[in-house]
Amino acid sequence: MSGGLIGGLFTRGDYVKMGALNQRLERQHVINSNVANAETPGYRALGYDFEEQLQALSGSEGDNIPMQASDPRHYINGMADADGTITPEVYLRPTESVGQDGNTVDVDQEMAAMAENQILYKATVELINKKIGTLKYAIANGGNG
Amino acid sequence: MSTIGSGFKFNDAMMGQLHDLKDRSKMEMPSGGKTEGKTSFMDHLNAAIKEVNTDQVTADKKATDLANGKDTNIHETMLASSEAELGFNMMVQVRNKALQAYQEIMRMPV
Amino acid sequence: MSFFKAMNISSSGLAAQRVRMNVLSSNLANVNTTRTPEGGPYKREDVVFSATNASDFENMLDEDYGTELKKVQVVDIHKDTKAPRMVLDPAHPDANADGYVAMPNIQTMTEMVNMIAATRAFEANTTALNSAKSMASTAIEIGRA
Repeated sequence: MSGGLIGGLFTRGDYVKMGALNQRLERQHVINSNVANAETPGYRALGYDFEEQLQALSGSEGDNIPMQASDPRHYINGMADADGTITPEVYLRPTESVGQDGNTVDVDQEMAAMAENQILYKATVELINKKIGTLKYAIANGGNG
Repeated sequence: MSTIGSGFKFNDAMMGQLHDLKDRSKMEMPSGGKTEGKTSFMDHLNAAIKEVNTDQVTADKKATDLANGKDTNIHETMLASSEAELGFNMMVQVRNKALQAYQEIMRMPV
Repeated sequence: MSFFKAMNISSSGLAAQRVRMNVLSSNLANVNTTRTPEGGPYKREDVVFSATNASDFENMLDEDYGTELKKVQVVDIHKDTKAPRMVLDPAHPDANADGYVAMPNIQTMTEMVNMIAATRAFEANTTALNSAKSMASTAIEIGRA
């Protein structure tokens, strides 16, 4: 996330999208781990949350400054650091029902979470591609006339 | 002549160039009638550029909301993003055509 | 942070469920086996799953969050120590002095239900693996207009 010419091309929203891709990948790891251990005695399902932290980083409307703001006041409420890194939350999923062997994985819940994660990952990639496509178009066609 | 920057910066650059065109056409073609016509055309263009800019801001906000999980209405986000992209592409072409027209007029022997 | 960590975890789940299926098939096939090389009737076998750390020892320091992701391993296939079923059948060549034959203590219904569960867990792991693979393929497409 350097400054200069390349830094000016991407807005904060773009960096939020890139961060979201990383976070969704980590979430996929956690879900896969839960599913693989759906029958392991004593295994407790893990959850992975990053939405709140990423939303805190997304800034207000019309905010167009790049991710690494020199002013730390832009990132308050403890959700994000001044240089744009966020701390996701890995926690034991609360569950009402525990299996006979101490396993707390609900496979159907994990499947639903996985589907949502994958779809939003693809959607985010698509949006990044649109932005890159716009830039390519501007670079290719802006010099004519 | 073109400034490479983000979509928003490009809009500003375009507006600047079109204002340039407007001013220069006023200078070099002093006939009143022609100037009047050019002014209203430029006003239309300015309004269109503002609209494209608004579309882009809206689309960017919607895209950020989708990425950080605040609002996961995928089709709305994709439609807004496509609308902004198409509007931007069209504006680029309009700007190119306007520049071409200006240059052709400049080439005309008086 | 690698795409393939998620796929490794899922593949460990697939392998574990496959071992379980083999054991269950063996149980079902030997529901009436009265002779084994060790002597006595066939003893029902069962798998024991255990959750082990997904990262290698060298990579443990790379973990961003405190909790380790776990993959699953079959640590033991242990034989059932329950007493065999005694069935009255004096004509059987393996009948004892009282005319009872020691049959394996295997309930067909139980094994079938376990097989269904193992199949479902296998499918869940396959979905998880495909999800991670799909995300990796999508990521390759970033920037391709």
